[in-house]
Amino acid sequence: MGIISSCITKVSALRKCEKSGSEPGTWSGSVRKDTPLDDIPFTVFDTELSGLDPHKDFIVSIGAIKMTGSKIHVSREFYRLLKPAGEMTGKSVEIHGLTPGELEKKESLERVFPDFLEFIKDSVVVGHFINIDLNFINASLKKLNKGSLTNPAVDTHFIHDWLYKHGSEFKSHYRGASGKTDLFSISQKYGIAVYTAHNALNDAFMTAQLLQKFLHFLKPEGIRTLNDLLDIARA
Amino acid sequence: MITEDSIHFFKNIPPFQFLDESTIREIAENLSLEFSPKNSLILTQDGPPSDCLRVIKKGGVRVYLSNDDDIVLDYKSEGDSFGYLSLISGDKTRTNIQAIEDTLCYQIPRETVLHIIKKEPLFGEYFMKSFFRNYMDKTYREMRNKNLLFKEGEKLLYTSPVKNIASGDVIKAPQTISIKDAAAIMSQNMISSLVLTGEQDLPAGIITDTDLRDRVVAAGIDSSTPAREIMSSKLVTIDSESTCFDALSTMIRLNIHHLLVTEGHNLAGVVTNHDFMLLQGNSPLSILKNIDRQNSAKDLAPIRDRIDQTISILLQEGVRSSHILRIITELHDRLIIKIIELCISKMGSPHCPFAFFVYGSEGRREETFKTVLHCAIAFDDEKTFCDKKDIDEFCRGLTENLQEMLGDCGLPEFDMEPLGQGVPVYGDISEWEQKIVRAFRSGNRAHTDTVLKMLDARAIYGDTSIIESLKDRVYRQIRENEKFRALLMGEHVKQKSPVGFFKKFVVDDQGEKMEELDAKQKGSSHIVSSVRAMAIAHNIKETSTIERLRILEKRGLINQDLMNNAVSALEFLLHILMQSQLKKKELHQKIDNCIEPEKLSLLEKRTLKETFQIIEPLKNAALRSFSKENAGV
Repeated sequence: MGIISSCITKVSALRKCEKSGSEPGTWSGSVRKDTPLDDIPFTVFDTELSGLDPHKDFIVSIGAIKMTGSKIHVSREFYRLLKPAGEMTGKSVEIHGLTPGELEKKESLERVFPDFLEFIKDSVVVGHFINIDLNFINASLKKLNKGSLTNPAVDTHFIHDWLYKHGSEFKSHYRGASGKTDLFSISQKYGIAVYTAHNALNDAFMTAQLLQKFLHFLKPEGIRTLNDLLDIARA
Repeated sequence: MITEDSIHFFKNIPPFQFLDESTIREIAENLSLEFSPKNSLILTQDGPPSDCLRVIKKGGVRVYLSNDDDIVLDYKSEGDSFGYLSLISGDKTRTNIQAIEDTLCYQIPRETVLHIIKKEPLFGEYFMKSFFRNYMDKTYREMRNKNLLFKEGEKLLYTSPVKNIASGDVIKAPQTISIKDAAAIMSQNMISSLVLTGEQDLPAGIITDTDLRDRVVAAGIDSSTPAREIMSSKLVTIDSESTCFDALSTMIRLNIHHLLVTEGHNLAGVVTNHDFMLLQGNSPLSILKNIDRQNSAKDLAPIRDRIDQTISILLQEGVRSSHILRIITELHDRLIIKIIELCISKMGSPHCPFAFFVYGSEGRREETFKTVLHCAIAFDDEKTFCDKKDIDEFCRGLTENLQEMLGDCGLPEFDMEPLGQGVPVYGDISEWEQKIVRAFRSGNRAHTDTVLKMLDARAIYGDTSIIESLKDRVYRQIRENEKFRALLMGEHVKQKSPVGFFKKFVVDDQGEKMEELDAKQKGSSHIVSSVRAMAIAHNIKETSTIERLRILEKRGLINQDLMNNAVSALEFLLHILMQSQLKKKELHQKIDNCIEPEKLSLLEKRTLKETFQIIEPLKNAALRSFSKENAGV
């Protein structure tokens, strides 16, 4: 999704969103809930969409990057553009800059999804306002008769909210926390290089860097394991 | 995309920039990114070894040792690496590394680093002490490539092998032929020199245009005389793989215009002054010739500009600063000598032997862009009776004429008051000795600095033995006086040199940041002072710092490593200083000794940091040399 407008709209859209289903598939449970934060395998991902209604609209690109604890594995990235599954509106094209003509020759959902599911397998998925992305992923999976994602999901926006309330070291380090919650503003506030072009992989990388920073400030507040993390930021 | 960004990052920082694309890609594929908040410790002294090489992507760190007090060893910022030694040795971490800003580091795992070192051994050298010599050439190359302001012909001259410009077909003739026949061969072949052969067709000598003019026509010798009678039998040769620069400097040093080029034992060609001039109008040889031809100071002004242009060409060519200084000193000396000759031809010679000398960086042959001439005159009244009135009159006349002529040739300032106002610019050996010792004794810091410069005096005109005797006397006095010896090292002995760079700043061990680096005050003068002290302790009269170092090493007074490192350090400091002065000159800014770290590449910063580290061992060697000398006194 695009950064500014899409994230603002994500907040309002969230109210309409349903919680994702929990059929098994991409999560074998091999990562124990008492896994220390430093050892948790994460996949941080983001999507660019044709609109905000999971029933009508569709995913145009997926970007993801791997982390272990707060380490970002720079080369373990995933980025695919998808062939449009319907008509693209002018508004969404303006946001992500991907034109129907450009996407026409790209792979279909059926081809891309198995690779994506393999990529995120047995990792905790992370995103900024991730429920929107999850709803689209699950809606797509439903179309493919593949159930829905079973990976634990964490939202960096929730972590930020929690640190905003409880993280004294975090607030003193950054001289207050960000009032705005969209990915662009929050990244700027915490000194992360912001990519101006809207791109699912760049947005995922920015989100990964947010998670990286937040994890450092969670430990002193007693958040030490996957279980603790899910308690405060499960999507 | 993210990987491509990291590849782009590594392509622009040393030593990764010297790796090929596939190796950088291999690094990128195994890379992770770590965040360390401000003030957090990334590596801990005596902690476990580092499991990866860290390269700072954003932010900065402080490297320090914790004892009773923290001792800061270094600051590192974007593009700098750390953790290599503990990674390689597997030994505990020796220092604390603390983030002084929110810091992002790329981490390259141990296995990847080991694999690269195996493939590219020089990669590992970058992080070791041997960096200095192994990477110096790369640093110079980078500096050279930074500014490609010059034409290809100009670039070609100094770094290409001499065989490229030498005439390959050497025209030879037996030495028994007549001068007339030799001249005919030269004329037919349109050559300016002819190699004459002796037994087994081996070269025995050479005759040139100049020989025909000076030794035949002017001397009225019969043209049927055998050519061997007028040939130069001393054949000066150069190996065909030597650079044009080497050929040129040999020709300047020996004042010859032809050089035989050899391949093994065979004659492969001849290189002439003309060959250089064809390539470049600003050839130092042509400048030299031009100086000799002029009859007034005003006509010398354009030549002075050409000397500065030559510095810039040599610099862009990446010629080492010691070589550049050798040429430039020779040209400047010739220019000054020419002016003195013009003065003397106007006013007549004195009846007493004298030496015109330069001191300070000119004395050491380390002056680049000449703005002020530091000079004085010394007489020897011990060998000959000198009339004081005659000397006064000559010296006043010479200084007045010099001032006027230097102004005419574009050198408006000259300092003929080496020991401050009111002290005459000339004197006999005893007077100079007294003046110097008195200034030393006064303990006045301003005077001491000037006196230190006087210790590097070098005669450029007249009786050079006068300056040698003067130095003999003064050096002896210094060696015998404890207070003088202490002053000899100047203030430098107490001053710390910078520890490194942090972003656009130079930092000292207290973390104090400076936006400019005075390369002379903070760098080269430390080296110069220590080496001068050692030279005086061991009565070495040579004034050039590099030559002094070589003599000290040859006599076993310093080890070869220290000599090599100090020479490389000084050369680099002078080079970077000349580069910065050249830029300022081009922009019509005031020429000073300051360098802005912001304008340096990471490789230049890294090399400069190494030069600072040589200062301390050199200081210690200087202090030791006096204590040894003491024991002998």
